[in-house]
Amino acid sequence: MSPAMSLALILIALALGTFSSLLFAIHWLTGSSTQLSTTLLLILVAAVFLTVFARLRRRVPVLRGPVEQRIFRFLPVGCLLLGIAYAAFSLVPHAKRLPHGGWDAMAVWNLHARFLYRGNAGAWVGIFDPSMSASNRDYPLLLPNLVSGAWIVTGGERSVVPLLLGITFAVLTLGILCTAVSALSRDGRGWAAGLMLLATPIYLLSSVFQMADIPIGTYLLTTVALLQFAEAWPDIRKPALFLAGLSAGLVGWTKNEGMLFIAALLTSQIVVFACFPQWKELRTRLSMLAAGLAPMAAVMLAFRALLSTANNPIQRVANVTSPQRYVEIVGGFYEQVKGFGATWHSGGVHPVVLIVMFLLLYASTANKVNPTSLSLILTLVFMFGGYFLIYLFSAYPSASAYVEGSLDRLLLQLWAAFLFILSTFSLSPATDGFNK
Amino acid sequence: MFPHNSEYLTAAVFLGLYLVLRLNVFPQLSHKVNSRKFLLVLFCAIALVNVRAYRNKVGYGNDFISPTEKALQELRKSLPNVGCVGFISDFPRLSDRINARFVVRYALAPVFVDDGPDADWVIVNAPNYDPNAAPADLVLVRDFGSGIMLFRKRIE
Repeated sequence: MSPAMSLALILIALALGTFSSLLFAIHWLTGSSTQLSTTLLLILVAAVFLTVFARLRRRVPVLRGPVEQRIFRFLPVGCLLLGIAYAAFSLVPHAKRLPHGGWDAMAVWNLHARFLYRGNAGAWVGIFDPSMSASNRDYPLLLPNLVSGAWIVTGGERSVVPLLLGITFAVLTLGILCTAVSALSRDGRGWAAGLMLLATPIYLLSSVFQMADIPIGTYLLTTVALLQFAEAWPDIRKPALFLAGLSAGLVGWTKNEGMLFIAALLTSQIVVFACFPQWKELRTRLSMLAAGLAPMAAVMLAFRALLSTANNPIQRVANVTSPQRYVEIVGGFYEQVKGFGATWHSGGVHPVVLIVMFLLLYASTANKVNPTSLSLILTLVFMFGGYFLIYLFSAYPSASAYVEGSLDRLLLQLWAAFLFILSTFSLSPATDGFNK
Repeated sequence: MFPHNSEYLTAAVFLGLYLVLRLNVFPQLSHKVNSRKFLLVLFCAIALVNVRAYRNKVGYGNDFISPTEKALQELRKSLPNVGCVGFISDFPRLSDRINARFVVRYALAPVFVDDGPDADWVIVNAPNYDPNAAPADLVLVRDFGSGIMLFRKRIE
């Protein structure tokens, strides 16, 4: 699989996020957005990213993969295509059953989109009114702005638009996972990784719910993929790091937990590259990541300072001395991991079985540890640590209930990125798609 | 604690077979059947079983919006230029009343929807509407069907 396809899909995802963010900035500063101006903005963003793609694809090496037996080349992709066809066949009645998405779509995401689309003359800031606290008025606005922007461009408020955007992000995630892993591994494991994602029923379910868990997962995946591209292909190292920073910023602009990801990502880079030590590389990485992150950081800071303050995650420090709290949280983590995937008692098999089989098929002993892979694993560890602390310090009387109501979606957000990290962690720099 | 559904039992049996092949327990069998190819076929089969499992979940989730969306959009067009409306409903369960208020807020955005009959204009969602139970200071403006009605404060 050519790396160009992976780059193209990643840039489409980034273009959607950039369009949404720019539209928000313009809407906030000027007070309104017309169909003409919004369409021109979309064309401009598309043109910029098309130019970026044209320049980068020339610099990405197309390396031949190792000779593989036919069954390993064709069976995974054949089964993936079959799975996609069957999933699409099941998705249509599901989407017809929930034309307006799930509860959160109505109470938060599409509600905010309607405020943005219908709220001329500044009425849209009603999103942040204290009476809207039950609708998560502190949530960032990437998805609602994207929906609103699509309504503006298409000239009407159609319920099919947020549905199609939700499915688009799900398809992009699947495509990016398959192509990015294939580009790096140059064998059939990319399709197997995609099959693992498709074989997670909660992933397909959520694509129809029109919530932000799939889009944030898309940007988490694009961030980790771009970081591995920067490691593998020195010719595009700096642009890939810049785009990874932009992508991380879009993670933060999609949901509040994205800010934890940004902190975890930057910290993991510092820890790993300081330990190796590769100070020059660390300096380059941090400067390019920061440069890419800067525009979204400005938007998020302005949003928090002037429109909506985030909920303080440190709500009850006294919980740190409560053993019962720790027991509840650990128990909650166990229950949610055990039930992850929506395969329990539904005719499916837990995704961990597929992971074990995938590792037996494709894991190889890495002669040299890839620092980027290590930093990505550490990012996930920091994310889980962050979630644990948030549950620990929350003011919820019952941590079990809090974990039960939220952790499954947090796991879903990380799932595609986790599969990518799993698939690329065991790649040996000497023999696979790493152009050293 | 551990699942014992037929899918897991079947997967366990086949994984056991894989281990037999991989560990060369029966050399003649391992010679005939490549363990890695066997594992790949098993992996793909289990993955497709899981994709099928999604279909069993397609009935999951409730559509709160469609039953009243048309009536509420009609109401929205009839509403004068106000920033806030009140909302009351006759659902016996609190969760249903909360759902109904969220649905109305979603339909009327960016107009705010307050719980209770205190605003000048009040939306009523009452599939079992009883005129005798309506607050005395509210006058019915229009019935939009599906239990959705628009009231306004009586002008003295």
